[in-house]
Amino acid sequence: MGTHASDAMHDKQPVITEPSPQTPIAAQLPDNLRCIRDRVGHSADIIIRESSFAALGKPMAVVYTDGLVDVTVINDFIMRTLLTASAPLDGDQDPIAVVAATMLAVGEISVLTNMEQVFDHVLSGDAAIFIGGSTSALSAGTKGWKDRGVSETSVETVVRGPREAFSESIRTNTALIRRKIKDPNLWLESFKIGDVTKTDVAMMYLRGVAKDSLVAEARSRLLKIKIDGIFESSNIEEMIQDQQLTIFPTLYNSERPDVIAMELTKGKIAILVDGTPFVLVAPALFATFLKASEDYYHRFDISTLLRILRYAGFVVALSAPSLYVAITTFHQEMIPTQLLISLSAQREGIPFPAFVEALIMEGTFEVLREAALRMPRSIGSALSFVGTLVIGQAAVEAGIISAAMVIVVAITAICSFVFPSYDLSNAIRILRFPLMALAASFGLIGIFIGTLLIIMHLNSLQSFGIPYLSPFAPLELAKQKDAFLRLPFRKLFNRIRVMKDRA
Amino acid sequence: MSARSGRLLSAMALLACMIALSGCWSRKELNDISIAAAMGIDWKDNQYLLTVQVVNPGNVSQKQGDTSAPVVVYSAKGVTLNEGVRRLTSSISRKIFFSHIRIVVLSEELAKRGIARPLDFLMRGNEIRSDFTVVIAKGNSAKDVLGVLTPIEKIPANFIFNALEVANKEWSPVAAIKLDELSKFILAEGVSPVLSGIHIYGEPSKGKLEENVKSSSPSVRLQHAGIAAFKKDKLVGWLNEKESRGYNAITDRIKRTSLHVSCPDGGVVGINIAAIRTKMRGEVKEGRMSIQLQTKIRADISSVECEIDLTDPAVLQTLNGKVEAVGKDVMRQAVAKAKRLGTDIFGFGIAIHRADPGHWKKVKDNWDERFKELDIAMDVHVSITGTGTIGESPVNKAGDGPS
Repeated sequence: MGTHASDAMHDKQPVITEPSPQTPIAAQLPDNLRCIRDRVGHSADIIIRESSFAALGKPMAVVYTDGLVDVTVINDFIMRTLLTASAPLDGDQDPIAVVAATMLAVGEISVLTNMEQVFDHVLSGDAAIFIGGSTSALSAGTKGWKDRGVSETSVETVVRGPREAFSESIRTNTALIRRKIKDPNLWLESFKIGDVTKTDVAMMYLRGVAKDSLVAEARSRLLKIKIDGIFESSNIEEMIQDQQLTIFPTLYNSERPDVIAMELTKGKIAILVDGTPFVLVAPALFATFLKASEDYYHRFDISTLLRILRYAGFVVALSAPSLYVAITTFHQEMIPTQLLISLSAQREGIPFPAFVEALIMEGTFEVLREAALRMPRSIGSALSFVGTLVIGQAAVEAGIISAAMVIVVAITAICSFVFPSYDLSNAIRILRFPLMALAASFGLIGIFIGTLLIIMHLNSLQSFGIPYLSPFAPLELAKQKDAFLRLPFRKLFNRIRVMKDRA
Repeated sequence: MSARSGRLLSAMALLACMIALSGCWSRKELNDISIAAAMGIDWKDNQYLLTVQVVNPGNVSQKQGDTSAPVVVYSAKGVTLNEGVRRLTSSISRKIFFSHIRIVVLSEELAKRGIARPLDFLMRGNEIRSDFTVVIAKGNSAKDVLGVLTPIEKIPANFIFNALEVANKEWSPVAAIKLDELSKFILAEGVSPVLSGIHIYGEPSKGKLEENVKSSSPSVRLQHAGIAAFKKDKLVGWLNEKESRGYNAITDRIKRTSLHVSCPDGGVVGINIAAIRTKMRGEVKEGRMSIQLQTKIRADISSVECEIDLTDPAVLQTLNGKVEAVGKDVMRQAVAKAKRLGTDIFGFGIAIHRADPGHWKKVKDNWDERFKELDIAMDVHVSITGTGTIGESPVNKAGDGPS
């Protein structure tokens, strides 16, 4: 995969992937600056400020990327200090080390020894300081770019619970998690993934709660990723999931810090990717996708009932159209007489078989759904208007579609939105159609075969080595407290402590 | 990898073919079937005459402007019933769907000939369920009964079915017997089946017209008419209303009913039977067979049309005794009728069988005769518990009770 991608790259942009030997930092400042200018193609946003280092009387330069840095930090704590420093330095000492140790009032400092490191730092928002005569450079943490800050959740909304959501900045996101879990055992490991994008990726876990083997596995999977660019956490998800050939999601994602913090306390691993508010959680089981964060914020009784409702919604969203097709075309004896007569009256004069009818309606709905997502927001209302008219009324009144089918499609659509996770509802969207085809060919037998295949497939799935259907299959009685049901907290907290002891 | 995915691809292609080529052997769209609501079987010219009442869904469901009749009745002859069903298709554009049958009407003539043979067809087929009620057309052909349109209930089959259910619960001179129960009756030893009768009042041909249901008092109507008693599978006679109620009381099929008793000095008291339970026990002593019937009745006063003082416990005692007498009387009449017809419709034989299986073996071959010798001991216990929401009757106040 890796070689293949870089081969393809090679044809277009040979410069980037050319395995360049590490360029050392030259003692002559102009050499270094020329090297920088050449490599970035004289890009205007790479600022090179040349001046004289007062304390030694040597030339110096500060290099940073405009827009990624906090200019006040550079002006007040780097430029001013270096320009006004008057104490003459001992000529034997490396000026870089002295500056790092005594002069810069900046928190994050590191010594760079080759030009590749310089580019990494400068392009991520740090300032690089060169002093003539020194073969190393200094990087000062000056990251400070505009981000949209912590805003309200837009995907996973709740009635009761925290309103804040992750943003695109990985630092903000780690901070949001730290604010929830103030425990030194909350560890963070950083990666840079993507040969071109060099995206910051962080893995967070609670040491002692998360199993070491799980942490090691996640780490090794992250390190194995060979790809040019990471633009969203789903890129990572695709690269590290256990099975590629499945339509079920095996990693959970959330934009809510409280959800991630809660998953961390359960011994799971969070993977944060710079540039996206969606944080991955591993391992993720089938049951995870049917839990909403609010389940833990409301009383346990209503939470349990709502969870059962969600499971029922899963079944309906998956099989309502196929059950309708199967029962009305194969098993009319199952329908109560009055209902059969009224369904039969609705179907009088409908030109299509029930299956085709269902395909048309489900297809129309999917198109509407996709169109509503893609179109500019300002004309969204026009679409819902057309959708309502086309699906709801005109089709029925024209006698092309039976009213019962519209009801079935509507119920299916509503049910497919009860999941807290969008990924699971996508899996159902896909499965609905083959199931309908099976129902139209073999009736209920077809649905049973389809369901059986789905269950077999689910049983074959794993997420980071954990069976996807657990704790249902294999059955773990102790974990039933928070799977299908949501028992009171006193019982749940016991479980977390037990996990901690064991680890 | 490529070999595996190739195999996977071909498997998927085969599956896709299966969907396209299966032909869906038992698939039938809702607008390709006609839902039969009732079936009638007559015996004519040594053949079955099969009648089917088919629902016209467009009229039955709430759509405006459909002026066609709610049901259509088709008939066809056949030496076997299945032949009749197949022959029907020559006069109907769709496949008849029998799973939703509520009622099967058998003609009296056919019932006299024996119902076991036509029932075999109904029980054997897998499309026909066993939860429909079987009734006998009394004095009419089954075809005529199914042709009558009924008010309120657009589907006459539902009318017959529901009316029977309600009457069985609230009035009780009928017997709502479903096919599975009927087959149990026929197959069991020591009991003979009964079926409810249905009768057309008025001119049957007028009942087929829409005008019939447009009138506030339809000139042609269907009414349940007593219980038909069978010997084995052959109709031997009809129980009248009183005997029918007696039958229901003895066999514990009754839920509620109503009766009246006379006051000491004229007038009547209406009694509402709120609950009634009968236990049947057989006994064989030195070759002498007897049946004990223990009946418990809980009743309320529903109306008082004479001058009595309900606050007096003695009066209630007297009323208890009178209700007891009425109860015994109807039960005795039913038994007398059954003995006269020579058929054990109550299942006394089963009680004897349970009491003394050895003795049963000796008498069972000749049971319909031996049944006539049975001693029936009746023990009726009545308790009138409610006197309604008023104490003193307005009849007392008016002082002009019938004298």
